[in-house]
Amino acid sequence: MRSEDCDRIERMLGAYALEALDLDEQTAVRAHLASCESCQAALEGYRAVADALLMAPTPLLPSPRLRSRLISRLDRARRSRGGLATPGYLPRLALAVGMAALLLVNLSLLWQVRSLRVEQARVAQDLQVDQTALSLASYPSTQVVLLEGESVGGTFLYEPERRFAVLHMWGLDPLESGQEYQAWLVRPDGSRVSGGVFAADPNSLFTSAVLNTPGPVGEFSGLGVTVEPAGGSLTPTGPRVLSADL
Amino acid sequence: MSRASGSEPPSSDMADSDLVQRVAQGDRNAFLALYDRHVARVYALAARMLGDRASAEEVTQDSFLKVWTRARAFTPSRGTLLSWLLTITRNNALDRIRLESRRPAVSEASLLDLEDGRPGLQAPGSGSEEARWRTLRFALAELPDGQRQVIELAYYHGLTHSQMSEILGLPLGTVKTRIRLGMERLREAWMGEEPFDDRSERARTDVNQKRSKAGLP
Repeated sequence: MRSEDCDRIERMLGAYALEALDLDEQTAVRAHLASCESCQAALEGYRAVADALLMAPTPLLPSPRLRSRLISRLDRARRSRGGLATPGYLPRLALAVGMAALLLVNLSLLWQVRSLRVEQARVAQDLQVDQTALSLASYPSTQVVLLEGESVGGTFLYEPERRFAVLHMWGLDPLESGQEYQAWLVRPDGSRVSGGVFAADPNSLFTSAVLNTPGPVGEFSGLGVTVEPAGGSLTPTGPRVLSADL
Repeated sequence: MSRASGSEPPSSDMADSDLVQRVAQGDRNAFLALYDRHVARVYALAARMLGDRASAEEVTQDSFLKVWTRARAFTPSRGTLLSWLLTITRNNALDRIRLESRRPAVSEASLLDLEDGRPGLQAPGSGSEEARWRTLRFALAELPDGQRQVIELAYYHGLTHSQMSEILGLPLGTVKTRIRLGMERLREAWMGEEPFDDRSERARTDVNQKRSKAGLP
């Protein structure tokens, strides 16, 4: 049945099909359509035009790289699809589920960023050790000393003129919290200077550390590793796990 | 790998609805067949809406990934696969436009000069469908500039009456009238006209040439 409203509504159907109406008009048109078959029929034509407008741009091929990029993402896309229902049903529920999922994603991202930072710091440290070891190994006068302890072993790479050295160890037990390993350099007079603290690497059989020394390493006559309270001690207080003469 | 084992490679004349069923079962070859058949239209729409190649490719990729993961949701009774795919593409592109507060994309003519963009050689769809789309493209090109502009801003850029009125500096009533008149003409062209023949195809070229000479969008 045509009502007196129909003329006014029909003039808005083109814009309605294009989703160009502002909210108040959109609401009015929708309410009218719900009860007016004549306007529903008129809308069909505009809907068809809107559909056809999607196909109006002249076909254009993207770069061939897009195809290979897409192929490489197919497996991942399937796996991460999750259990969400198909779109179009229960949009409100889907929105709520979507928001909850987003929140979860955010939380897990936050957590991932934190673990990544920790991981990054660890990797950066490993890299520093590796680079120092590598550069030391390239000096012609670098020396290698074998360290010995009970069920623990290691090597000490140093160049007598330098103020740093690299310590590689294996068999170190993880320590209780509140404890750290501390390296010591022994002067010819028997006094000890700290070379720094470190923890056993839980992810590897080997633990590596760069020692910074107060003077050229060649001035020292020995090396030791002890267990100390976290943060290190001024002089060795705990049990000695490794030692060597330089 | 979720490839359906033992399936025949899809033939080039297989219907979209059969291909999408295979895609729902994880058939990559069927998916790639759909991609090859429709990517030129998807990319054209995304490029028309976004105006730059990189974003258009991302939107194209997202749209096809959605087909890959949600093929089961496709219901043939609601429309063709291509219009489903293009609706997804339009929504993806509008999301991006709104998210990035993009300015309206440049005209289609200048997009043809995009570095890697090549006109699609393969004409998708049947001959008569293709002819109807050409009809519409022609009707759109024939609209007075002011009418075409508001229709494109609304549909390709997601703007409402009042937003267009503000951006174009035109009275709200003018915008409304232009959309209404333009859409009425397009509807007549789409519903009533026979597919255009070669003569009108030439006429369309003339229109485009005139337009680009005049530096109009």
